[in-house]
Parts: sequence; structure tokens; C-alpha cells
Amino acid sequence: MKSRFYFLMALLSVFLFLTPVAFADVIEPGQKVITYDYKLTNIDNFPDFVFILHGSPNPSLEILNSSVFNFYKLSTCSIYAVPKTVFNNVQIDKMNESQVEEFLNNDSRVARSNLELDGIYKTVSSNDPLNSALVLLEIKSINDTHLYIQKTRVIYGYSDGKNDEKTFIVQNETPEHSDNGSAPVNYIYYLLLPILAIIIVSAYIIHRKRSK
Amino acid sequence: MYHLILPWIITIIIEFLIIWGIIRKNPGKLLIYSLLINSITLPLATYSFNYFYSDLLVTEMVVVMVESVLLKILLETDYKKAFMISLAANTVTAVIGILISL
Repeated sequence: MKSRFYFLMALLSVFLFLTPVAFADVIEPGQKVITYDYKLTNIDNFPDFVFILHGSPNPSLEILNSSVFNFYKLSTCSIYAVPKTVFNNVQIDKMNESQVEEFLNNDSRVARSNLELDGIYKTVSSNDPLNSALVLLEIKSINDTHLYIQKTRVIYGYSDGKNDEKTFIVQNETPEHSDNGSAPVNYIYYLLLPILAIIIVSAYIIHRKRSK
Repeated sequence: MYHLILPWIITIIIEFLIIWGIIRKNPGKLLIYSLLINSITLPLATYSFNYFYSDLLVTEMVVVMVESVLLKILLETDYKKAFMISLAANTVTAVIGILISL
């Protein structure tokens, strides 16, 4: 009986020690990845252009409209503006991946944005009420081969349905989301509960010692 | 709120069942011990894992150590037995937690 107990303990210990290693390259238990969503807010103001999302490792080519878009979390993407007349002539849909890349990066008729879009906002605790991060992009200008896009705001969505909007001050620094968790509950759970339990345990131990 | 309360209740019940399965007496007292111990370790471990150091193994090891000490004092048993109970209880709850989070 005793040896079985120790065997079970050893087995459970091995499992416990191996489990985090097994998950190390994915998402750790208790965590969740918040990916970015993006939206070009004023795309309709540029009806003569086709806006293309291209990234590594993907998408090879995605035509953007005024809807929200996102992409594979580990991709880094850029936006390209191709005049509609050029787009219709080059038959981009018949190009293979390397031809698309060559066209987007080197063709003098394509305007490129130097804004790099990431797939992941951050990894947060699965208890975090944060659900989504939508970055609003505004097309400022298209000059020859330069497409100037600015990140204007980020809208964070929370599990209770509330939203929280932050304005970009610096382009490559996403404003942090608010700690929108239910603060009083967190305060009770993380602080008052352990303090209360420690007081009760201490009082019980003192009482037990005195009564011996 | 439920994302905090539910794991707390589940952990208290599971750890109680494991402690009771090993000690096999005074279930009411053991349930209160499990409630008190997990009211100390679970919130602090969750907070530290979420906001300071997100390493499950290290967090679990610290919890096992702290609970061993608390079990030793409350159950008036030796450290070896308290450690074994704590290790068993926390291994089971950690495995269940991992399976739920998958």
C-alpha cells in the first residue's frame, strides 16, 4: 500500500514537472493570446486605389475594404496601394507568390506603407477580461510609391461587452489597455481573502497551543 | 467574478477529497483546513502567476512548499507526510487546471 502511494506520487511528480515543458512553445496554461484586428477607417475616400495586405508568412495577397481584417498571429504585414487601372491590367490574381512579392515591393506604380502590422497585441492571463484589440488605421496620403498610413486609435473589447478607446501618441507604441477587471472583486479575492485566512489560521494555532 | 470563485471552490473540494482520502478522519475539520489553506495559497499564487511570474512549475512548487508547512501545522503531522499530501493535492489540481485550460 505504502509503495503504491509513493509510486503514484512519483508518477504525478514526473507529470507535473513535464507538463510546462510540453506547453512551452505554445500558449502557457492560464494564458490567452490577444490578436490585433485592424480597420482602414477612410478607405472609401480613395476609390481609385486597391489596397492590398501582404505579409510574411502570410497572407500573400488580401484585398482590403472598409471591413475589419486580421491575419495569422505570427505574421507581420504591410499595406500596399495599387491604382485601380494598374491593378486591372497586371492581373495580380494570376501571379504566383514570388511574382506578387516582386510586384508589390518593386513596381514603381505601387505605393508602399512603411507601417508594419503585427498579429499579436499581447499574451494575457485567461482571467483577464480583455477580449480584443482593434486598431483603427487612417490613410493620410498616397504619393507615388509612398503610402502614408497612421494608427489613430485602438479599441479594446472586454468580456462584459464594454469597450475602451485609446489614442496613439507614438506610432510604434500601442497604448496599454485599462485594467478593466472588476476591481472590488479582485481586491477581495487577491488581498482580503488571504489576509483573512492567515488571521484565522494564526488565531486557530494560537488557540490550540494555549489550550494544550 | 466566476472566473475567480469557481476555481477556488473546485480546488477546495478536490484538495479536501485528497486530504480526506489520505487522513480518513474528521472530514468537517479537513474541509475547513482545505478552505483556509486554499484561501491563502490560491489567490496569491494566481496573482503572482498572472501579474509577476508566469511559470506554472515554479508557482506550483512554491504552493506545494507553503501548503506542506500549513498542513504540517494544522494536521499536526510530520513534514514528509504533509509534503506528500500537498504534492498529491496540488498535482491533481494542477493537472485538472491544465486540462480545463486546453
